[in-house]
Amino acid sequence: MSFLHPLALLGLAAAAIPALLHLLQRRVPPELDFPPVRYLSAAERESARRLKLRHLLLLVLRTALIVVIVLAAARPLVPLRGGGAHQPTAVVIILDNSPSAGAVVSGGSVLDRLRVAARSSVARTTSADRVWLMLCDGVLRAGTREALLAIIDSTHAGWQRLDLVDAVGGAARTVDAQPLPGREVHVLSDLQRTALASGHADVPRGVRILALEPGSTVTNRGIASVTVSEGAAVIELSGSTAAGGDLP
Amino acid sequence: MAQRLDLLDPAEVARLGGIEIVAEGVVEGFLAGVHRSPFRGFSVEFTEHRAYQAGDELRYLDWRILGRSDRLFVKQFEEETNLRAMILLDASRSMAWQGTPERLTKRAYADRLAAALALILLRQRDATGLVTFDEQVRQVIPARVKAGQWTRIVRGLLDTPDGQGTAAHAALQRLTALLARRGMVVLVSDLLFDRELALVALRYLRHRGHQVIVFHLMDPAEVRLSGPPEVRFRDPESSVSVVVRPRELARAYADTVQREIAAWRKACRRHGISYHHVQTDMPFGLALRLLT
Repeated sequence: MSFLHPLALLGLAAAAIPALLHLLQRRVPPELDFPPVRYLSAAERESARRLKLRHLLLLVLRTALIVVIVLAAARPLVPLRGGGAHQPTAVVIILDNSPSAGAVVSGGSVLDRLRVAARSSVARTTSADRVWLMLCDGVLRAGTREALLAIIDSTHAGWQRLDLVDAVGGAARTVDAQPLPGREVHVLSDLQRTALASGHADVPRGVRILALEPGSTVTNRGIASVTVSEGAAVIELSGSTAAGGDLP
Repeated sequence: MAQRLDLLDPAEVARLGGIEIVAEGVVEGFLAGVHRSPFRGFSVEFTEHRAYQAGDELRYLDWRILGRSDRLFVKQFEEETNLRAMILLDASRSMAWQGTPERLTKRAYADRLAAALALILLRQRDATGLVTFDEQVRQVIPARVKAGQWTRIVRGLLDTPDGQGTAAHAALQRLTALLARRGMVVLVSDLLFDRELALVALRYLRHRGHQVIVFHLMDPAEVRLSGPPEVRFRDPESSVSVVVRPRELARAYADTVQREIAAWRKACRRHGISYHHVQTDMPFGLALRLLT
């Protein structure tokens, strides 16, 4: 298993909060006179096991809740079918290395996160699978897992625009043509509106499309105007919108 | 129409004045509500000897004195009474407890209940006495029907301070020796002591022919557990303490208390002892009515 935001796993330290609160809240309780303490002791003896179990269960549930929230925030990438024990599958991994993937968000580029997801997809494949990698250029690259991983690692944000509709359609047709029981297309993209501009992809029945986006919004900027005067060009950038906003 | 004090909230009634005033008020109301004497029994009140005179009935001759000293004396009796009653009042420290300041302590409730009961008995010419105890027997007022007996009983109640622990079985066993003559014994206590040991003494009283009645006093807060989220409860008698979360333990505690009450009731019934569970918010009149 890998994570899109591994730094978020630091939040797992928060799982100790319920236990710490339990320990820190062990203050001296107020003392009151109560004559029938003998009845209290008897009642406590009878329900001690039930209460202990209840306290333990509460602690486990609270801790588990924090762990689940942190793991969800870290965006885990898990194998679709039980960690590698899947049926032979034809997989096309579409890695979006368009210019917008070069944007830096929270100290890391979008492409880095997409790379992690792409590596995870490749790592989950077995020798019984057939795997291709597609970048913005729309070319299907086949090869061993090591070769594909090397391509993923060496990929940089390019200048070409990715047409996701075409790419997904082509990839779906490719995997559909394979005589393997499983057929998947993994889309690793920041899902810019421009990438989705040309309508709907035609996906054959039985082909699974798995789309992953990096999870952080990226402020779009466009060139609003260019003024050339005295040999110098003044470029004005347009206003900002989120990914998928009105402006590309 | 004037309100009957015996049916009002005990704490409100207690604010009217001292034990005498409260007891008298309660008894007035209580007797107005019953149509016959609530208690039945028989006894005679011996007062003194006098020298035999010709014509005296021989059945009153004291044969023991005749046998010892060869002199003739007859026994004199003050008056025939219906009953000879002894009220045993638990004055241990646990009785000096109240769940909220608005309620009477168990001891204050017991004092007023005992005073009212004594007044009823004395008004119907029953010899009545009082014994207060904690770990030891503190006050013994022998059963009499003389004028001023009720005042003596009330003073006995007032003069008994709140005690320490309750090893009641030991005090009860000593009491059995004091209660030589058959009659009615009324125990007023919170019964926070060893049940089996206490029952040995009560069974003995029953065996001696006494009619035994037990008033089991509890504050409502002792029946339904409540309090801060977490609290250390301390037994004022033994200083044993336990840390609990009342909300978590409330149901188990209520079950335990009900089991304890049921156990007392069952044990008493098995030995022919009348058992009555009374909470300190119960009007005095209703508590007294349990005896009828």
